Amino acid sequence: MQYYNMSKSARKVTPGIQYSAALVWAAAVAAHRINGNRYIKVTEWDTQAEPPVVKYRTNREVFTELLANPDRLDAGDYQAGQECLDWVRGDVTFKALRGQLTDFDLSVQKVLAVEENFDSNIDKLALAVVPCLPASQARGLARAETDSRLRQTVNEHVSTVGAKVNLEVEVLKANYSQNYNTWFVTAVDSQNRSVFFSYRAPLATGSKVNIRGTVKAHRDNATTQLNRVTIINKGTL
Amino acid sequence: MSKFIVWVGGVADYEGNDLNQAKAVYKEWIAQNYDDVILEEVLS
Repeated sequence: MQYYNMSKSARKVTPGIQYSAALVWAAAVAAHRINGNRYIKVTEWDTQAEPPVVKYRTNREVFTELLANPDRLDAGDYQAGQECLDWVRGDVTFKALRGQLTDFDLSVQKVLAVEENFDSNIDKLALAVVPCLPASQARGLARAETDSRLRQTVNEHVSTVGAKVNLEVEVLKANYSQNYNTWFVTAVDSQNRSVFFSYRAPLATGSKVNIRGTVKAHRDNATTQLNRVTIINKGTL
Repeated sequence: MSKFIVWVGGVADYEGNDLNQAKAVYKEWIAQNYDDVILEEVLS
């Protein structure tokens, strides 16, 4: 029996269309902007319309279309693209220094290695990764802003453990926990103290609400954990 | 008018004015062996 074995190095990929790195990053941030500053992985349909129409195309589709029509990009897109590239490079470098690179980060490193031109055939994988990176940047910036806001809170707990309290708070972040089917909310009150609680529904970041709850614990980082929280009404902070 | 809240692990699972429904939700969680279940009456 004869085996035909073609080694990886022997395989030849025909060069495809060349896209400058600046164009690729500009197209990625433009696709993110066009899709309402979101990363759309699967096409979203407006099912209320008759017949249903496409509401949002995937970022990858929009991105590919923009690569073929670079005249639809403006200077702002190129500027934002460069900022996104710089942010991603800094983020990956930081993770590498801390030894926290994931498999995805390794793919991103391959994207960052392309400094001049992306080839539509040779860099197919890299071109598939770039459209989701503006969303990573947006999440990272929001996280940094939240952390910065939390660092500015006063080093003081709310009331005493077991006390029932009414607070006006501004929501800084709300993360869904699949394990508990609940939202973990971090917020600051009107006296700039940080509080943390679970809630059954999502609360919009930046929203201001009046809450009632019981102080469950005083955490080490001057955060007060609340239990049994209800929203009374919209706040006036 | 009173409002009733069923707390499960510190998170509201039922909020409303119907005491019978609140009791039903409360019993449902207890029947599932959850121990941190509280039925609270809030006077408004």
